[in-house]
Amino acid sequence: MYIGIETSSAVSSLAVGNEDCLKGSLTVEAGLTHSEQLVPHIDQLLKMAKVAKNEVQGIAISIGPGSFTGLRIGLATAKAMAYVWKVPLVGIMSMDVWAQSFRTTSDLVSIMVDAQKKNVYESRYKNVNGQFIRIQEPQVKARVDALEELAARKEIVYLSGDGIISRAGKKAVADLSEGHQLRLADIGQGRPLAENLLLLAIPKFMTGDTEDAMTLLPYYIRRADAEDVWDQKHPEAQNTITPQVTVTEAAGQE
Amino acid sequence: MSIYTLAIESSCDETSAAILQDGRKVLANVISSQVPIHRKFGGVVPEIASRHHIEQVIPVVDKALTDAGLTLDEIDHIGVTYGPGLVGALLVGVAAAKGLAFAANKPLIGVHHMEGHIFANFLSNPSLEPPFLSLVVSGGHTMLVVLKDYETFEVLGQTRDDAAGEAFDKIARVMGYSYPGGPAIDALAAKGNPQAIAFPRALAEKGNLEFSFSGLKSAVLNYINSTKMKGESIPEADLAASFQQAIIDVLVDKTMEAAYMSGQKVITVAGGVSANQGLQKALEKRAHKEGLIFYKPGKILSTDNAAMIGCRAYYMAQAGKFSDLSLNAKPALALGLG
Repeated sequence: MYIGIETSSAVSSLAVGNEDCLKGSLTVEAGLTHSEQLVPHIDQLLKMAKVAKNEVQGIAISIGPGSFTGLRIGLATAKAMAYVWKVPLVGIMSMDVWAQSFRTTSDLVSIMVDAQKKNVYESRYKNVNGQFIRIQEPQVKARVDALEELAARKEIVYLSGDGIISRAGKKAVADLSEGHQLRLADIGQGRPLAENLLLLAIPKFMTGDTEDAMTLLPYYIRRADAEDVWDQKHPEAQNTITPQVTVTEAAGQE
Repeated sequence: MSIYTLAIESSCDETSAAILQDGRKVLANVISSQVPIHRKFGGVVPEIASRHHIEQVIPVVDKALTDAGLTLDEIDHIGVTYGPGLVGALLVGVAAAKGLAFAANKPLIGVHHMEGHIFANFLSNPSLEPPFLSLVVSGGHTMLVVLKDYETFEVLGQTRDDAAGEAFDKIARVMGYSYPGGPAIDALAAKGNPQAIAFPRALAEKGNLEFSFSGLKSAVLNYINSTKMKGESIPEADLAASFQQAIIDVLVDKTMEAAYMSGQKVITVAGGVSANQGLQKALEKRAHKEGLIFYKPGKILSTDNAAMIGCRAYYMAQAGKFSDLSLNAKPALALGLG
């Protein structure tokens, strides 16, 4: 059995299953923090689905882009469990998870994940020769620019992701001039579901294309704001070496 | 049968994991420090700190278990700092600890960071037992606490504005020293005259156990500005010595007053500023004069580390104070509520 954990947005979504069967899933968006609910929900889901901890063979995790804090809560939890159970991890790009709800459409799909300050990460998906694939890597764009570009295509485009199904996103779509064929995801399609995450991850578990609890990291795309600000103020120091953490064993220094 | 505690600390810019035997013997205390990374920013950048915590948290746990020669199966319970501190940083340690506790079926204990600092005294001094009075001084806290027994904290007084460590960092930065500035001021002060410049000692009236350092900070900044305006050079060593002396006088006087008022005979000091040599010497001298026992702090008392969290967790476990898996990070958490 594999566990899927999706905490890259305000939605908390969990699933457990394998290549043959989805044993259960639990998706909640009730304003609780991931920190409070994630581990209790994993506990409840495994119990409801009658999956014992020692049956878990791997953990799939949405690695971003998305809420930095949400990503780290999901990943710290997933890494800790994988470390204890000695099972592999698979990291899946969060926008691929959002896009999976549209995998049977023949139209273009654009996923916009909130990148703060009216910006989005945008990636695009399409069925090509029967395969639903990512045809544009995530890029940071102003939401209005991304929308206008898609509106100008005069073809049906499905939009999803928390950068566009939000109130501000919906308003931006409504503000576009007539004639476009942009379709906002409805409530059924417009959520990142852990069962879709599992769908993407299970083939990787089966082929051994996995990651390790010691090394898997979030896919942030953007740096911390402080780093950008510092570089702008210190253009001369662009190529200096970044210091690393120092690890010491302090037992015996009492 | 020994009790083994695994503890995790990630409240600021150190990711640490420790293993303790019976609460007081430190088998491993792995500290991954980000101090050099934050130096160029002049202070800890929360997002950068959180990014390093998620990189480091499992490797430090793994190294602590390896160094202690134990497996997770042999651990009895898991302690973790859940506040106070930087929320994004705390969340990484809390999530990892909950994941470990759930997966390995171990009890979880949420620990208050400053209670950990006070309990670090037990690691430095094997013979120490409560009750005692502790002066807690760090970048975020300045408080006088009586630990009446292992579970009862009485806060006698704390700062109304800046923490003592904050004042050290701010003045050091203005004088051109990189973060963290306390050690630079301490070293410079040793070469200067502490009576050279008169700086204020706030809330000095008898019986007042509250602290305030914002007025001192302004007085030092005013002195630096007016000296520069006059085109004179700053007497760096004298300035550092006089500034540091003003802080030390207040800390020592109030600690003695607190000991007198609470009837405590034993004094300890904890937190980052406890490493300050001037403070240690002054406390030792005054305690001796007043007939009090002063436990000189070891190195472990001044750095954020998981061993102190493990010590506190051990005693909380003895008292049956466990957390459930909904434990959340609490960036502002009052002392003694654990």
